[in-house]
Formats: sequence, C-alpha cells, structure tokens
Amino acid sequence: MISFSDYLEAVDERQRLERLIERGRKEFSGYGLELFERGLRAKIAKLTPSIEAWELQQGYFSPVPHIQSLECVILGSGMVELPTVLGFSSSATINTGNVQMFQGRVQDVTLAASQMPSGNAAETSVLGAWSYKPVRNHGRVCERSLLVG
Amino acid sequence: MSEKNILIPQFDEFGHLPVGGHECTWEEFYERFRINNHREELCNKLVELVRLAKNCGFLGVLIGGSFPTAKDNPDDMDLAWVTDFEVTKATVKPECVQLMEDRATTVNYGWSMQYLPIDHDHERIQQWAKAFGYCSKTKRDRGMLVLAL
Repeated sequence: MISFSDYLEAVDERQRLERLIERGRKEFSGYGLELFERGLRAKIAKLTPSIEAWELQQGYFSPVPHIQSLECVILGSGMVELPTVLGFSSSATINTGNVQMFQGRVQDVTLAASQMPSGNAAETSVLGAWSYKPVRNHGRVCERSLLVG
Repeated sequence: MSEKNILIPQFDEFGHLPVGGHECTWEEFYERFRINNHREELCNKLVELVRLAKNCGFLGVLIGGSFPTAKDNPDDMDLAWVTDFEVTKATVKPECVQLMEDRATTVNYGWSMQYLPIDHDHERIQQWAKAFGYCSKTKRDRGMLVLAL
C-alpha cells in the first residue's frame, strides 16, 4: 500500500498526464493521436491500481484542506444516467446512477453531461469538497478522478 | 572537453540537463552517458529497441527519465518515439508498435514509451521535450536528448 504522499503524487501525475492527452487532442489527429494517447494511457494505467487500492483501503479520508474541487469523469459505452445530487448545505451525496458516489462538504455543485467519442460521459464537479468517500458501484470506476488544489 | 561534448549541455545543480530537447548524435550520446556497466546494460536494451523502431518506421527518439542525468545508476529511460506528421497504420504498423512495447516491458525493464507525430519540427520537439521531461518525483523539469534513427 502506498503512503498518502505517494497517493497524492500519483494523483497529481495522473492529472498531469490527462492534461497532456487533452493537449495532444488539440494538436494531433487520426492514427498519430491514437499512438500519442496510447503511450500516455499506458502510463496512466500503471498509476491507477495503486491509486484505487489506496482509495479502497481508506474508504474515507479527509484530504489536505487546500483541495478545492473534486471531479469525476466517467467514460464508457452505453448510457450513463445524469448525476443526481442529494443535499447542498453541509454535505452531499452525488450518485451518478451506475458508477460512483461521493460524500463531502460542498459549497457549489455543477453537473454536466457530454457526448464523447467513446460513448456517453457524465461529468461531475464538486467545488469545495473537503472530504469524500468513494464507493464502487456496479463495478465501474471513474475514468479519471481529479483533485484540484 | 572535446568539441563534440559542447552539443550536449552540462548538468545543472540538480544533475539534470537544461529543460528542452538537446539534439546529439549516437556517438555523443554513448560518450557522455554510457559510462559504467549498469548504463551500458541499459544502452544495450536501447539498441535493441532502436533496431525495432527503425523497422517500425519511426524517425527519431527523445530520451528522458533518469538516464540522461548525473545519476550513476539510473532506473530506466523514458522514450518518446517520433513519427512523421501524417503517420498511418501502413507506415507504422500497430503490431510493430506492440512488439516494441512488449520488448520494453520484459523482466527487469519497465520503460515508458510515448509517441509523437511531430516529424522534425524543431519547435514542437522543444515543446514536447519540455512536457515529457518533467519529473513528478522531484517536481522538476529535466532536459531530454533528441536523436535521429
């Protein structure tokens, strides 16, 4: 099991790699983009098991207080239900219907869904989430989960 | 110092090359970095991958990671293979890429492989060398070497 600092480092690195993928999508296309993403996805895949193992082990944790937002993007084939949000004042449970739930103190919640090339995607962004509890639901996990300081 | 060594800059105070991509020949690369048995072993592995990469149709490679640093016993090399702008599955076959990746991840080796469809565009090579040169462990930018195949 990795340490908390290693966990945060891995999450940061995954976030950086995802930003590179986004940058590549603006610059490349076709098979070139496919190759470009292939390399970065492989790096992300190396990071993900330790991140998920840490999150599953902890069940609940209070991340460092400077974390200002939490974002979960779900990609996959088939319809993804729009997220539903229960409670807005001191705590909230966000249930994406078939993927993952979070709990946390929430200042603001924005929800969005968009069509992605690989299928439907639902994006949930929670601003001011000071703590959260990731729960696997139906075996699906976030394709990327971002903690933004 | 020989005139050749001027092409590869000196390390900074952290033992890293200056940020960006530094073009050099294979002779210069070996002279500067193949300086002990451990590094020679890594170079032998690289030679094998380069042979495959040439057969695949790649044009060049950016070498990063801890290898092009002052570290005596670097862990690995991060490799970013360069293709032409309009790369297709005919010019770089997917099965060939898979073979390279399989060879790069054999026992004792877990090298990271990226792909960049940027041809010999100097400006883009510099931009991506900066992006790929970042070290998440040290939180520092490191330079990469740029070699033609």
